[in-house]
Amino acid sequence: MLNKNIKLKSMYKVDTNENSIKIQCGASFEEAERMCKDVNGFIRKNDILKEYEFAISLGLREMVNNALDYGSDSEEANVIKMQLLYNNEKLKIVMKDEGQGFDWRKRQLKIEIENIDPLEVGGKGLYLLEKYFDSMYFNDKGNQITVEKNIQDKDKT
Amino acid sequence: MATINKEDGVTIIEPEGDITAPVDELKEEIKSEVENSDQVVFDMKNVELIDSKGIGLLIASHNSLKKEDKKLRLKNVNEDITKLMETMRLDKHFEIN
Repeated sequence: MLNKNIKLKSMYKVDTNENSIKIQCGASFEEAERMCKDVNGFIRKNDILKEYEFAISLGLREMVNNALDYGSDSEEANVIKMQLLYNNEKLKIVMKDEGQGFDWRKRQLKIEIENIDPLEVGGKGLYLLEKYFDSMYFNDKGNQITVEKNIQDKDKT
Repeated sequence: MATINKEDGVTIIEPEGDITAPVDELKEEIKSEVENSDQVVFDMKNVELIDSKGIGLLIASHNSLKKEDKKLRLKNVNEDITKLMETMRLDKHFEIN
């Protein structure tokens, strides 16, 4: 039987090239934090992305929060995979976890702000992703979320 | 983690960095301050990013203060976070300057 006190070996891996960064990490806040810091470092080295730093950082946080809350059964051994890639027109972030999957078909897509109680403590993560990105979609199983942003559209939030 | 100061009955909470998940530790740290203060101000000068969990913490603080007819104030809020608060219509509930 696995002794839960034994610290699991980090499964953290980073793979970057000029237009993308791919990270695999364990399902823990510590490794997720490391992922966010590495992505911030990547953004700051790329002039095109710098202007969208807030949206990318916010989006990444929301996606990884969902992966940790719902996609990992609180097991650090589970793996979260993230990829950020961009060209001159679009940036894309893909996040995949090992959970059972989010039943996105039951969620009303494109929620309007009028339908959200501003003083409700939770339930705003996906709304923020929709607001800060031009498109958001899931894979069939619901354990992979993708957001895309037109990076020429500077008037979008 | 946050620095907490009291000045003339006003509690000033200054988070040491971004307010992002997990926020449980910060929530615990400020809980009694929020419950026992006449006025609470979050000084956001060190905060570059706040996520939905952090927003939830501010809303929970606001809701707790509102029960006693008190208000939450945010100061030194950067442009991106101000815009985010407006997007979430929270500028109608929090005093932001």
